[in-house]
Amino acid sequence: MLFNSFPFLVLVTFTFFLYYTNALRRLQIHILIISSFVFYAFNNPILLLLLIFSVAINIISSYLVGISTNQTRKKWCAILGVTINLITLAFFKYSGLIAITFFNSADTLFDFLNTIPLPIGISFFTFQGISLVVDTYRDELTTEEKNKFPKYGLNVALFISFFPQLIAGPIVKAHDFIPQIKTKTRKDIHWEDVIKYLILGYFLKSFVADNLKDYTYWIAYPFFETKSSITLIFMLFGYSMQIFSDFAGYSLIAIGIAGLFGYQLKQNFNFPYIAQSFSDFWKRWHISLSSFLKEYLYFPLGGNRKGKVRTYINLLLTMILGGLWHGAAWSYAVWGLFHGILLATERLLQDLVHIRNNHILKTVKFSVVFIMVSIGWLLFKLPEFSDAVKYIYSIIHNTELNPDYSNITYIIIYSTPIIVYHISYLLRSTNSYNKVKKYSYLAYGFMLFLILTNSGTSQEFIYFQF
Amino acid sequence: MELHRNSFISNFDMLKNIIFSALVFLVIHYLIVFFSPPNWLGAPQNQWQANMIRAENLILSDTYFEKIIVGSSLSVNLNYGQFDHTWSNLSFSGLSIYEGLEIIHHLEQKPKYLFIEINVLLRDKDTFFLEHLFNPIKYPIKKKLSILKESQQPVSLIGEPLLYHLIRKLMPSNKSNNNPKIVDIKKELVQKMSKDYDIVPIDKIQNQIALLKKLLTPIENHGTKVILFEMPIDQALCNTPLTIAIRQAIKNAFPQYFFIEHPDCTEYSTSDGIHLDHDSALKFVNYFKDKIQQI
Repeated sequence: MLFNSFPFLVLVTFTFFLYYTNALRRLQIHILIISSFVFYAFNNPILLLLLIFSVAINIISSYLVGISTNQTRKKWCAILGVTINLITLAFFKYSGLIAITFFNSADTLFDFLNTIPLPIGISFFTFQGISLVVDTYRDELTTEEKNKFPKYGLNVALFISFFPQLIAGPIVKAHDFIPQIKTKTRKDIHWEDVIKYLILGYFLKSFVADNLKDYTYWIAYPFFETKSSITLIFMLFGYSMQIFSDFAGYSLIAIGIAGLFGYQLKQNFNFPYIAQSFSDFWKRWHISLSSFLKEYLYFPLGGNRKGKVRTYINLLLTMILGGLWHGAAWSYAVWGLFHGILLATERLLQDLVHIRNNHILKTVKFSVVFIMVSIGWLLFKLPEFSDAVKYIYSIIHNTELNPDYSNITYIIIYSTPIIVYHISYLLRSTNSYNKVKKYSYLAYGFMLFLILTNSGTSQEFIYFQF
Repeated sequence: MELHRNSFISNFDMLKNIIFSALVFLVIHYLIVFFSPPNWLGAPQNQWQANMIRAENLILSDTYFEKIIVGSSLSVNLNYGQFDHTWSNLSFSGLSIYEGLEIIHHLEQKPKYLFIEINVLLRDKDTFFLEHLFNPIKYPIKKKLSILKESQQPVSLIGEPLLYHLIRKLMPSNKSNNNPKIVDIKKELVQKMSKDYDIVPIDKIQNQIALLKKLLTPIENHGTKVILFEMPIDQALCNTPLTIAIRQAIKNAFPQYFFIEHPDCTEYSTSDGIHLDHDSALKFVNYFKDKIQQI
């Protein structure tokens, strides 16, 4: 179910009124769980069984971890819980990749593995399951949150299936969400924040991303071969803007909708395109995934505590697995490796070279980060690695072709809000910004006007495929 | 409770301000559209929107079109500006002929003559396009509120007339379309396509013809006269096994319809193997007009 679809509007409205009806106050968690199941089952009802399976496994395993007093038993229950989550993810998400990599197309197993469907949002809810089991093992949840089985089961079911962030994040950690579960009243809604998140989120998705997609559409083989170098550069720039606005838009809508039910989700994006280093970029882009990988993978691997060589290896490994989390294709692993190499190189340079930061250096660093990140997005748009190479080749060699003026014009127009958005962040501490800030309702009014009059055709969010 | 109510009211002020500002922007936009020169309006921003505008110009209009062309991107190049106001061209880039036929089903008054391009018979119907066009919320609103039509989007007002020309000036180009790189790409495209044109999916052709018959029967029941036509394409693709098979299947299935066969393909040139270039499109319009005189 798309956030920008009529059925979703009906679902949210209906759920909202039931949720805050006084007579049903004791059933708030049940209402949210049922709505979440309806939301998930809407396009493919059979896959609801998988979500229910995931919920059940995580209730049982985390409960057993929570009540175990024997440390060895507790550890094995946690390992079992994490393993089942990972096997579920591997079976449904990576079966196709395993088939292509290890089996011959004539094998019956090849056909079987290729017919396994990819359930929407599986990468998100299995990671939340892992977070639950690990947080329980680390005793990051209070005794009250762990005990009283029926209530505990409902809390976990809501944590795993909460529909605003179920299929494309932000990935919520158990220790952030479960303590928030309690009876809510309308005064728990921060209306101003909710309104702003929703308008900004829908603006980024419907006005920016859904329009840009009609111009970045041509980043597909063999179409891009007929485009001029300058057009190809603009299209890549446009795709950078599109993927940001698509995903940041989704996250903001998710935060806004969660706010309607009294839940606060953490920010998933923090103006990533102003980053001046790759490590800074990953602190600003898809923050919930970055922090998950850091907390549950990089640190357990040893982080930077086991010497320089191990730090580089840990970085590369974390980024490769992070890349594979995005998609079941080796190009995603290459994308992860690409970012891992950038992070490792940056760390190496920081150790070796010490230059005083000035405006010129800051601009150079910002430009390098943006250009390299944008080149990396090619592997998202063109999952065939060879196509990405051909795209770069075409940028270098298509200098003799005429620019596609129309394409360039509209990429500039629809990317401008993202540039303004990032600049406004850079100017946030200036006096003039603070003077203008009190008229922010005009900006939100203008965005609402553009959502109504100039939305692109609604399309699935890019991150749904992950 | 009092605190809750006050907090909601102060937040409601923010919401009220936002909605009021949005309404002011809508009114300003309406006035700009109202006073804009006609050539500032209606310029499509992209292929999808061009399709939407073409469809909306028909379904949201009170004008009756006596003759309607239904086709794919190949027929978009028929410059219907050369036809009089009784014509409408429902040819859609990237889509098939079936979207156009579905739209005609929605028309209360069916056209007197319906011209159907047969070149892209095998492409399937895009239900997403039709769902978007006849969206249960947007469609009735657009019928009442013309400012929400695709052709009147605010970005169209600044895109085509202002920024497009500015960018053309900033990035001048005198590069010829006949440069070796483009010629090579065109050759490569035709070669790639010719491989596909050698394959004849007999079942698919029969299925599509059955679908076409199903869609045409109710339209014909309203007294519409159907005319089929074939656009000329690159000479290397003009008489391939696939084009011959489609042509023959159409003739066999619809012997009662007048069929405008493609002219000699060697006399026409295309931009990419299948789409006529500007001059050839104009030439074909004249050929087409001559042929329909015979109906």
